[in-house]
Amino acid sequence: MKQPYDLEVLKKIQQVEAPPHLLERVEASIHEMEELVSTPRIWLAAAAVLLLLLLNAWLVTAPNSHPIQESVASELVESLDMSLTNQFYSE
Amino acid sequence: MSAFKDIYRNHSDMVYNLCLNYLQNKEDAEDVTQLVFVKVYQQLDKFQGKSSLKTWIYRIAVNQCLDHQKASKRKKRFGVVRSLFAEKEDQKEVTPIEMNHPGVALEDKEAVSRIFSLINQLAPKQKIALLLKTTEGLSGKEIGEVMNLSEKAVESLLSRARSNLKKMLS
Repeated sequence: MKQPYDLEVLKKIQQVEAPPHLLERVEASIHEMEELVSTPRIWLAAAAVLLLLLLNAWLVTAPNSHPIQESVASELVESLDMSLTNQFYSE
Repeated sequence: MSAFKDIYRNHSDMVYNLCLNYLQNKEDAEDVTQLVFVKVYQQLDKFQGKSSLKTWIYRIAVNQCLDHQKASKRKKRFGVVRSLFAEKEDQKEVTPIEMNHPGVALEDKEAVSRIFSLINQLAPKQKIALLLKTTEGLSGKEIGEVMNLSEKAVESLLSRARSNLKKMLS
């Protein structure tokens, strides 16, 4: 009598070929993965832009960031004999 | 890439059939086969030739199948949690296997489905060893190489698998 757990039945399973489109899927997946690997370049570019922005911000906010401009302005005021204050009338 | 394509051509059927027999679902087998070959491509330079290429690829395939099973079990568990909050159903959980295996002829489908539903209840290692033996026709030594086990350990796994199958039916 045939046993109900007879594993021989598994030998009836036929070997099948892998679907032809599977290679394309594998290749696409590999390509995608390789693109992901190249992201450090993107990060490098982003870091460079950030560094530039930080440098700009520092130049704007740093104390005595415009010493040359200020000295030129005071020289001009002195040469024209102008008052350095905003007062219109001297008391 | 051409070397990889050769490897793919020589081993894709082997991997696909193992995945089909383990997962019993065409779509899942395709997904896992894809993952296996992506991993083969990634790790090809790490292959040291200590075992044959076939054994190495089998090992990757077995691990991917086990990972896939773990992931689907996790999904099922989450499904159970969700069902606790869903409407009450007076239905006992029935788990018939939804087999979608192109290698099984229509007349054998019932018998194969029955034996697969039992095999699916075995511990993952027992299931792998049994399938490698019965459907892939690997020897105890080859199974040991794939599973990183001694030949004796493989024999023990197979014996436990068979005895568990008997118990399930008694």
